[in-house]
Amino acid sequence: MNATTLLFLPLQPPSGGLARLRFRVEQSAVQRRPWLVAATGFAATAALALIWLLSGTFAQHRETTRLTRALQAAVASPDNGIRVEHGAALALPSGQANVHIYLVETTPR
Amino acid sequence: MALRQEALYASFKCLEKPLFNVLYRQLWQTQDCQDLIQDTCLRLWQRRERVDETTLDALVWTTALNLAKNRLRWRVLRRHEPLDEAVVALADDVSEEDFLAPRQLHAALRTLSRASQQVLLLSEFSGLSGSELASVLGIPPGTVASRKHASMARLKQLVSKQS
Repeated sequence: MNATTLLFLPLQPPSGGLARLRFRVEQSAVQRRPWLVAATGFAATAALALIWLLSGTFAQHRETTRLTRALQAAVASPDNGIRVEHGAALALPSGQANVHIYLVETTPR
Repeated sequence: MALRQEALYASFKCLEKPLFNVLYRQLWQTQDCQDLIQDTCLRLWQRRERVDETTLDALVWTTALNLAKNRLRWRVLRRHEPLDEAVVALADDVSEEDFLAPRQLHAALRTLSRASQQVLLLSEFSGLSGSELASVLGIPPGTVASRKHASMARLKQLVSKQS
């Protein structure tokens, strides 16, 4: 047998190729969209992060509201006017209508 | 119409042996050839919506040859020199001439250009007609015949020179 004939001698491929291909085709159907799993995971993580950030923002907003109300109550005039106990108060004139100045003196008990 | 599984398996059964014979003379590794044939079919399956069954066989050949070209390029880039299977397989009870024969054949075939190798191997093993070969390789039918003739003559000259 000459060398050229040897080169073109038909070879038999190893067996089991078709079975292996069937298996891989079936596997590819199961793993068809790995990007979908990654995208879903990313979206879920992003949603959780957003919820966490927003909850922090809402909590801050509630605190700010409470603080504002407390300050407003502190600076607002009392409903029943000013009452002095164990002392005396003298109203002094002020340049602004919504600003009241009192001179307060306590009496010893 | 999209590619069906039955058509893919039928094509595989039909083309596995000729593909193996062509690819083996390029890669010289059984496992690489097997993997490449599997990868070819799997790629076409993954793109099955765009594959026409009437041109499936030609597409299998084109894809397999391109993957083989990439594989060879990868070997050059990684300086990967696979073990010579024929050398490994030929053990103690083989004469020196027989021992050297596969190496000589590899060397002779490698001296041909890839285009010439492909024409030669596909003509010998694929069972495709001249026009089908031309379509797979993207060359005119006349070029197929002339290239095959020239390659075979060159190969015989190289092999006789070596022996």
